[in-house]
Amino acid sequence: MLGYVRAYKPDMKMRDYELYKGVYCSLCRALGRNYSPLAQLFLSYDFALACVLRLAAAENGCTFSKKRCPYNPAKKCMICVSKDVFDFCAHAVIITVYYKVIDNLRDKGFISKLAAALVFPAVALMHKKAARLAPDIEKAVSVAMKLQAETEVKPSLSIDEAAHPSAQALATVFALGFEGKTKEALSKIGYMTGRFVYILDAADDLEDDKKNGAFNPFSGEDISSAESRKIFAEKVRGMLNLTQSIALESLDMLEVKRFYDIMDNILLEGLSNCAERVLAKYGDKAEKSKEYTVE
Amino acid sequence: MRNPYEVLGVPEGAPLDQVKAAYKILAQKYQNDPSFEAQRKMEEINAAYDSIVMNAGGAYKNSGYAQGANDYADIAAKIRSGRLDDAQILLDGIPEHQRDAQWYYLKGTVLQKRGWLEDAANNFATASRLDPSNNTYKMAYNRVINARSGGYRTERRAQTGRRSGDCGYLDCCCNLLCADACCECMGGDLISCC
Repeated sequence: MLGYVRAYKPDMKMRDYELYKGVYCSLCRALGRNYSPLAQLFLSYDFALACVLRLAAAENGCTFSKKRCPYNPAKKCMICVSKDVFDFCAHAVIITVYYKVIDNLRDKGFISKLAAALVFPAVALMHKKAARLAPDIEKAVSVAMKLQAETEVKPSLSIDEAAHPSAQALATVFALGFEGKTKEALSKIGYMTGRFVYILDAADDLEDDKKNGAFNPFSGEDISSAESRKIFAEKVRGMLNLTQSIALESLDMLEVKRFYDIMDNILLEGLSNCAERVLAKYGDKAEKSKEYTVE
Repeated sequence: MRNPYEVLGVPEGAPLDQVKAAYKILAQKYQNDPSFEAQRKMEEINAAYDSIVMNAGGAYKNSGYAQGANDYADIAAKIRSGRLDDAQILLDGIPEHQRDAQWYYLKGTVLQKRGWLEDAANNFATASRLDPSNNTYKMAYNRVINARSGGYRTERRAQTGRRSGDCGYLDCCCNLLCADACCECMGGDLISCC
């Protein structure tokens, strides 16, 4: 995942925002604790959702305590005392980063190839540990990567088929360790989140991919004129809305023990805002103004 | 999916006339309500009604069609119990020239449950095009159209806070204490211990 899944701050309660940041900081700590300071560079808000969901569905509550951040000692952040959820998500971060680096080594431009080659030895080492500690995640992600490679060479690929491997991987990772109805709901939320991110990422990269001749599920779409770009944006928006509506339905199916507002915020406002930011470049919405008008 | 008789509020195995009457009352209640909740309810009612009528259908339909209906009833039951792979195999086994509106609807339902939403939407569209008079198909497709336009978002925003932790109990206690204080000002007492 690539930074698309994050909360929308203006609509959050301060308390929720503090907790959300706390989850983020706790994940950062887990990466440092289990791996290395280098691993902390791969931290993103995407996996904070995975942490929040797992915490929300867990039987027991959790305690946050204020601790200093080693990178910004002036600031204190909330750190969750229990560690297992964050360790689990830290393994997931490392495993996804590893496959992302391999992907970059294979088919991106020179700069990203170089960067990937530089971090590869360290990431490979960390991945070895992660795969040992979390074999289930490793299996889910590696199967998805293999399936993705097989899918991409198919002629006449539907968007559903193209998005399926990564969505399924996230569904498995989100639901690991849960049973029954909770598992079903978490898996559905994971699937829809993964699908949303895949579609949005594909739309985001379409111009570059067309230039470089790289694979993109939307490569058949016409985005040459202003008019056709608008039509394309509208089409993608429809797909994203449909996906988001099911994600929200699945959230309502989940027996949420805590953090409902945070998850609702991420899945409703967070995803929508991200989608609008990306689709704005296809020019069907006005540029964001720097002024506020209050009526 | 819930038991269709339960959805319509009639006893299990009730005669078709009673089912029809119950359906009519419920449909009148929900069909003109534009809210998302009512639409979903309506869809559930339609699906329940269709499944009961479909199961009872063999009696008065000609034999060829009844065979198809039984197949579909079996597939629908498999979908309900979550056996999507089995349902998909059965559906794909029906040759292309025999595929009717109901086939596309069931196929759409399987795809929807799998999360293949775009393909599902196309199947729902085909189903409602082939049989425009069927409410279940129309509802399924309308739901897709509504979701695509982002209609669910407005509705959800209007409901925010409904499941957040601040429940009414605290407010209720505060109100009681205030009422007690007021009573005490006037010389009375509502809560004797404070």
